[in-house]
Amino acid sequence: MARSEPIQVEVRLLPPLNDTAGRDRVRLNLQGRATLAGVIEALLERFDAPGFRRHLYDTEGRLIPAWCAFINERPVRLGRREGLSEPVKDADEITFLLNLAGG
Amino acid sequence: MAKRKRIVYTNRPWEATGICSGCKLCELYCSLHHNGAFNPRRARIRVVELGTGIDVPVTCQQCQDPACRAACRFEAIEFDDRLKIVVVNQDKCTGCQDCVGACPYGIITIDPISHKAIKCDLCGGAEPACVAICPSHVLAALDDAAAGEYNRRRFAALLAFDDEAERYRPGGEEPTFKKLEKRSS
Amino acid sequence: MAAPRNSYAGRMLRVDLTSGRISTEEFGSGYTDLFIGGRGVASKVLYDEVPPEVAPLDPGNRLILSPGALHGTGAPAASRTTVAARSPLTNMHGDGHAGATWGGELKRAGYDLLVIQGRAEKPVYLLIDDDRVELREAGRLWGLLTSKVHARLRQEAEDQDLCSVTIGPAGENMVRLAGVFHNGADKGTSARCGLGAVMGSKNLKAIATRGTRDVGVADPEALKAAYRDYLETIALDPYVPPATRYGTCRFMMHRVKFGIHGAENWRYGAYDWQGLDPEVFRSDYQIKAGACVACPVRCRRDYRVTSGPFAGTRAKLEWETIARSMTCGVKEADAVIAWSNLCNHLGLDIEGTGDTVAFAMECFERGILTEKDTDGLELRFGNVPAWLELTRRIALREGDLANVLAEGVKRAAAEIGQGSERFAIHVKGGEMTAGDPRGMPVRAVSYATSTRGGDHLRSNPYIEEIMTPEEALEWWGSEEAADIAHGLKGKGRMLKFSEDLVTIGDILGLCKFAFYRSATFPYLYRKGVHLATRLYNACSGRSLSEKDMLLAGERAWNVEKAYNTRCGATRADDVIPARFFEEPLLGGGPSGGAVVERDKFEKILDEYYQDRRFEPGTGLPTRAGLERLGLNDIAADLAGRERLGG
Repeated sequence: MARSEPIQVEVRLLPPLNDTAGRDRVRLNLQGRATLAGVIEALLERFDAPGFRRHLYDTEGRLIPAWCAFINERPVRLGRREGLSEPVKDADEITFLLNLAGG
Repeated sequence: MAKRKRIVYTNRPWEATGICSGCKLCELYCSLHHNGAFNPRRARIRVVELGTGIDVPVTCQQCQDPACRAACRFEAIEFDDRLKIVVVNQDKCTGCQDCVGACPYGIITIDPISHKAIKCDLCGGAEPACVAICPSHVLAALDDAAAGEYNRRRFAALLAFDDEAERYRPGGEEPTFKKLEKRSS
Repeated sequence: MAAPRNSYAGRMLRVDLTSGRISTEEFGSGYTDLFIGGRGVASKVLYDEVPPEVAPLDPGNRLILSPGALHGTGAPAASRTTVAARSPLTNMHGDGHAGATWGGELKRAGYDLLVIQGRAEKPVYLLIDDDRVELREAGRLWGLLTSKVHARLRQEAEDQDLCSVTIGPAGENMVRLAGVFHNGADKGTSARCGLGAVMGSKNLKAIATRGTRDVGVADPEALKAAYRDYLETIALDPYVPPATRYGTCRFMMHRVKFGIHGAENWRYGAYDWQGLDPEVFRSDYQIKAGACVACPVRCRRDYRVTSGPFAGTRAKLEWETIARSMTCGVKEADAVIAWSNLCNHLGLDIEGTGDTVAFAMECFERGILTEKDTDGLELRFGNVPAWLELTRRIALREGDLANVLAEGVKRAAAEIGQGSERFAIHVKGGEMTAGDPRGMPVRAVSYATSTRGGDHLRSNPYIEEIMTPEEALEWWGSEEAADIAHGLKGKGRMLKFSEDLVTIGDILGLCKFAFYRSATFPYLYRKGVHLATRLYNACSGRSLSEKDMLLAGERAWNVEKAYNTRCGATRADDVIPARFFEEPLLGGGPSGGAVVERDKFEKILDEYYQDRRFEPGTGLPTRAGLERLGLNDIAADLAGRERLGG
């Protein structure tokens, strides 16, 4: 069985996540979890606070569909079922954005 | 002996949301508490717009030797033993406005509907309506000891804010602005 | 005077500037039953009182000021007033709203509605002081900036709580891009649709208002419970904390990540944005987190420049000011603040002014306008001094070019000709707003169907970004509605719902950012329909259902659609500029190369018309559709004018 390479990604946090996390950027090690789902898992392990979780999941425990991840500059909507299994590579920069405006 | 309280503007000038936003919910809910309806002109706390983008909530300082009581010719301003503050006796008040002119804070006013003097009465000892509704949590009902403690923390935070520091986090709260003077100029 | 039993005053004020006659009328169930307040009432009054024979700048046009039904109460974010008139820009329904205390002050003076008609012979202002209502000479106010008039009125009344609605020099000059300003330059603006020009055409400089009465609430405990529920909901909704932290300038990140800026007159989707980063506004220019009256979200921002060429300038501005600055190619935050300051004090709408100046810039860059036409201005995208100077000239109609541009982008393009109509970015004559629609079909159609011209606030165009496939299936009959890029089914229905929903906000006077924007559909529904209904019932003493409330939104929409139809609008007017269909978005980025696909657009519009019960194909309102909403009189009127669909 091939050994899975350790993957390190840089995650950029925009509001409201950066408020709760207390920082704008974090480097995460994804041991064999080279997908967006893995990135979120790693984020929640790193910032294990109810406030953080509340931003991502609604009261039914579902991932809020308006969240969008940008892998480098490419947007991936997380609400669509495939979004979470989108693969990520070593040294990818991933930005989480609540892709909403209002104006 | 229970200490008298007053509503203090406990602003946190190092936070954008620690300053009065000018929402005036305090005025609205103060009037609701006292009159069962909404009317900022009948509120006992008023937000003063300084015209610079800064708003300040102003209310009765609950002076222990109040100028309003000294000015009243009708003995309508009485000391309330339970609350340890003065209150306006609405039956004795004639609406002459002597107290309005005497108050150094301009905070006792004439109610436009009853035509009597009105002032903050700490909501009769219940949780003050203004404190409860303020979304920025910049109002607090404090006795002297608590007010002193708040002033000490605030002074310390302001002292620590120097030109070298980009941002800092007092007690782990949100970051400050770059330069205090930008806001105070 | 007896304390009010609920949140209505029960009276309206009518002022005839031609005769000087001032009268009060009852404001009762004839208005409140079906139309409730705010935009609902204003639209019906406009329909009833301004027929198509009356042109927008004629004395017969009305200036209708209708506070939201909840304005003046402690309902959260209940701060908005509707101002309506027949629009000098679109020649159809026009309205604007503003989150300022003037509307509440009118209620406290004892009026739920103010209707102004006629034209004064010389400049006047209206003074409303509880029961005392007078028209006064405004000769010495005429020419003053919006800020100065407001300050002068407060000073003369010796009342720092006095509220006012004013026009600046732009409105006086009947610039079609002029707005109506509430409480000075920095509190709130009913900016769109040329409302300022209507007020100016009536020689009305200001409406000074003082009210000392209570605004009642039928059930204070129910109101407080709904307020608590509201706070719990926004604590959960991740849409809200960034609003409080950054204000609306944070919408930049949405535009950046989808590459839909609308930069350089709606040609570039990706653009240089770092100078306008929300962090820049927050760190270097923000005074504090401000709030409209009664709002706990606190997303209002005043900004101040402390160094550089614009040092000392302070202005309130919102995201759209930044967006329209990019439409003009401007990339510096201090310049944006300076431009906002200029527009606010002169009395101009930043949306229309931004699009009109951008149009002129594109004409200049293409050689259609030269320095001879611009009187020496090098009118290139991003040339800040030229941008500011042309804005100033437009407000004052100074010079031939500014005089033409002051007519709005549609008329200016018709006047300038030479193919420049292609660069006039408007819908029905109302200049475009928000972000570029290329690549987002529902958003594209939403701009086209707006009843007041190009606008994003008539619906929630972001609804397509938050629906889950399951919710889309349940509500609109197809999962496709939740997919921005693909599919068609359900999108027209979704658009109709989002329009009716948002209209509730304008009827009640609730802020869209506080109630009609959310990260999830359940939160959106909870705030915008469920809580809105509870708040209204608690304040008014009525027992509307959520369905009733959605119908009220639908009804107001239909009144406006009928009004536009009566003015001659057809399906041909429910369209967006050719640029979006034919020119791929420039600048690369995530939406680079995208267009709005015409066939998709038309199919969504077809489904939308069907769901709205408009005539298939033409989109005209039908008798069945109107009567279902209790608008029988409107159906009869349209039938009589042969403007009713079959």
